[in-house]
Amino acid sequence: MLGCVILLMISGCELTMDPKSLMKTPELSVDRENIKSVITAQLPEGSTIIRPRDATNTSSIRITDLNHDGINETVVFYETPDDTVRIHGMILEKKGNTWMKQLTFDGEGIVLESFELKDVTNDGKIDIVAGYSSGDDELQKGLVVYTYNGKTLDKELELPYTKFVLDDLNGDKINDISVISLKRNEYASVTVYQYDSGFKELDKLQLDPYVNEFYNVVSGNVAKNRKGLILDTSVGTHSAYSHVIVMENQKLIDVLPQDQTFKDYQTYSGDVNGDGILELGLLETPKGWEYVSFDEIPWLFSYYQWDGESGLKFVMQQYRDLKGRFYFNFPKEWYNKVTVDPKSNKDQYLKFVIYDTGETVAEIQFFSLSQWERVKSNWEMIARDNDKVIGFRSSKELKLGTTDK
Amino acid sequence: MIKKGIGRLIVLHYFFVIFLALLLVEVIFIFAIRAYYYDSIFNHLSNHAALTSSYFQKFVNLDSEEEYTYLPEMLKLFSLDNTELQIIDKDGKVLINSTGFENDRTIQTSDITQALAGNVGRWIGRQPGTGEQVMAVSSPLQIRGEKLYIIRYITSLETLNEKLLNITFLAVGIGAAVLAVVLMFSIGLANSIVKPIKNITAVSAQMAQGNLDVRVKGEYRHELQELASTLNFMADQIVHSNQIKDDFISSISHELRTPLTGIKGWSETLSSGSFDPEETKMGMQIITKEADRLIGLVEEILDFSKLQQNEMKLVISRVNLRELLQETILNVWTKAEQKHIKVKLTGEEEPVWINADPNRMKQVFLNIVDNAIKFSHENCWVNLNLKKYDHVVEVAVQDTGIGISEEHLMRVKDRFFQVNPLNGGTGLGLAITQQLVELHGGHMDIESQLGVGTTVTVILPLSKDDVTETNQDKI
Repeated sequence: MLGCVILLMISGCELTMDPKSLMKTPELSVDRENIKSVITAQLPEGSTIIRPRDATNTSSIRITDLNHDGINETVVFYETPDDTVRIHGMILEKKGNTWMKQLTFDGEGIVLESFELKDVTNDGKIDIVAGYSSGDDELQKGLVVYTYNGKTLDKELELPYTKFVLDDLNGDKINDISVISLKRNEYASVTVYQYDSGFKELDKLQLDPYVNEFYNVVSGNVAKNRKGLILDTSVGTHSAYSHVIVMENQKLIDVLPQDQTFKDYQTYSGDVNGDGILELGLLETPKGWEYVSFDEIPWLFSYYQWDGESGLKFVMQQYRDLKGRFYFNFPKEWYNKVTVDPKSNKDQYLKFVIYDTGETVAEIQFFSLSQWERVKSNWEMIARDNDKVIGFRSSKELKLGTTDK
Repeated sequence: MIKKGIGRLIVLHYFFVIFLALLLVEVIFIFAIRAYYYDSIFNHLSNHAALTSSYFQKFVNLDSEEEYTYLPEMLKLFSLDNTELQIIDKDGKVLINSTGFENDRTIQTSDITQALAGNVGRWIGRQPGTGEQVMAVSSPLQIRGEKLYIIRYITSLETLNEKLLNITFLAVGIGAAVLAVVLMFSIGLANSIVKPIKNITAVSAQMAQGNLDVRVKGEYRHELQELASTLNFMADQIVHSNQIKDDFISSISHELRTPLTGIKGWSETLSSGSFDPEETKMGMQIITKEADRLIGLVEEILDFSKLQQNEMKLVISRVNLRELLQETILNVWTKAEQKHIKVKLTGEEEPVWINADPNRMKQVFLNIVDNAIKFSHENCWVNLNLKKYDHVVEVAVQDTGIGISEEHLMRVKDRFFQVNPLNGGTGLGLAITQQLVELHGGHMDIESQLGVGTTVTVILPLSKDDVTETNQDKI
């Protein structure tokens, strides 16, 4: 009887509800929910909240105390595609328990490139640093620094730029703005501005303008306790070199000669090993491939740190597929000892051997999907795309993803 | 509600058993439903993650090295309705999320750990900040060999839990309803047992107060039927034995009165004097005879009462049964002669030794043979047959008298029973005989056919010496 009742219950209309239909987006905290509803109410029709295109902080709604009055403000950018001015910003301030729209302001251009909140005017108040662009990477972008005093928003700085970095290059604990400008074949420069009752130019360094682009700009420690910039610069068809720029006595210096950082393909600088110091990448031809056609060389990527003077020191090595399909970091024991077997083809089969002994330490092979089904118990999948699987196998019980740091 | 008693006990038992069963079923049911709902959602999320991951790995080309340029794309690709999506790096740092707000914390829930180990992780818990119960499903996404991302979906379980609570309430409600129905049934059932018992109790109470005319009426089933009919039977028996007792009292008073009347009449006559000695002698003889009869009666009653109270003392000695039977025949000779009845002893010629109280044994056979003669027609015979077996001896007293009908045969050995109470006597004779035989370790049987005759068989154990003797003889 009981079973029947329960069966009835299950088959009854009440219970056939799809569990999926009971899912719900988790609530935000009361405060955030509040902000969101206020923003939604204040947005003009047809507009959407936007994220900056190019920033380490990808969030679109940011909460901080802009004018240092102990009360948080919320800054959000939104887009009105049909208006002449397409990008707008909005500032909300917390009044008691609710949020009130304080003001809106017009942005520039049509793409929000960057959006950072940082005190660059050295007055304890957080400034809004926004980068706008026309959507064309060739053209100069516009950098605007806004300060908010609780009632109005003032523009403190307006500059054209190609890339900019907020950091403290001169080490005086005051944020400065480094603006990199490039007009191909005409001019290239790095200019550092710092605020001292108005933005002042600290120094400007002219760079070689006959380059394609600064495809990667990173800032941070370039040596222990030395702040600096690394500009990965592309030249020619696919070659590149890196500028390492530090500030000494308020003067910008490019510390390494171009030929020391030159590579045949682009590498990306950054803190590859996670030690807090930036590395720059160089390409190395594996031993035994010196006389092989340029396109066929399975390059080894080596990462170096600036040694503080005029040299580089080796940090780590990896193999990286030039098509961006995969990479893998070598374990320490392999550094500068491993090469790729000359019979390898970087798009079919790669065999990593110890150069001195010829011992095979790892293999990478490209399989068709049907082949992969047969061999997958012996190989670890490193990557796959629509028609092939790239498998990895190591004699050293090496696991992928464990050598990162 | 229900008075203390068997009814309440039955109801409580029912209630308890059903309650326990319901409880178990409901708990299992609720857990199963919960698991079903949670698993469905988990599967939905993990399937979406798996499908999108596979699509992402196959078709989405990451042309930029800088993760923040493709993270928004990934977010768009992986997003799923009614969930919050986070893309997390392998340190648990949220790289991007679908809320639009900043990523304010590092996530360290167990689903992340599972995802880092390469499995799809699941975590159910309270969202920090809002306290909302959520399910988080984390799926690892490995791209370019070494870069590991965790795709984490968070969905609120509040609506689901509310639903589950409703289902729980419904289940409990149905359980309560079932329990109520069962309770009603069990009360009815308890009544169907208790009511007859009450009736029977009431009837037996009346019986105890002496009203033996009442009977348990009505149709009962099973044990109750047995109880009712046993009670009715008991009442019948009591009425019957009362009847026997009454009969006994009336017959015994009659038995006592007849000789007493004779004694009284003669003693009065004699005390008035003026009789010749002849007449006086006859009167005295009658008085003596009647007194003997009284003594006999009283002794019989005494014997019976002794037997009843197990106070009969036997004086056991080695007795020759054959000799004892011969003596018995001699004792009844006169009586038999009067009715022209022949009494014969047949069978075993040798002495047959038994251990017995000779007087009592004689009483036994006198009684049996006396009865045989008493209920035989004139010019008949009574045959005593002695037969020896390995360990026992059988004495069969056969007559060709009036016999006993089948219905009376069963009861002749009952005390106070007389086929015809007007015949005189106490009705104790056979009862005493039977008990005496049994006291000697023997056994008595009566076979009879109305109008043909009766055979009383007494089986007694042989004396051990006799057994050995016989055995030795055989050797």
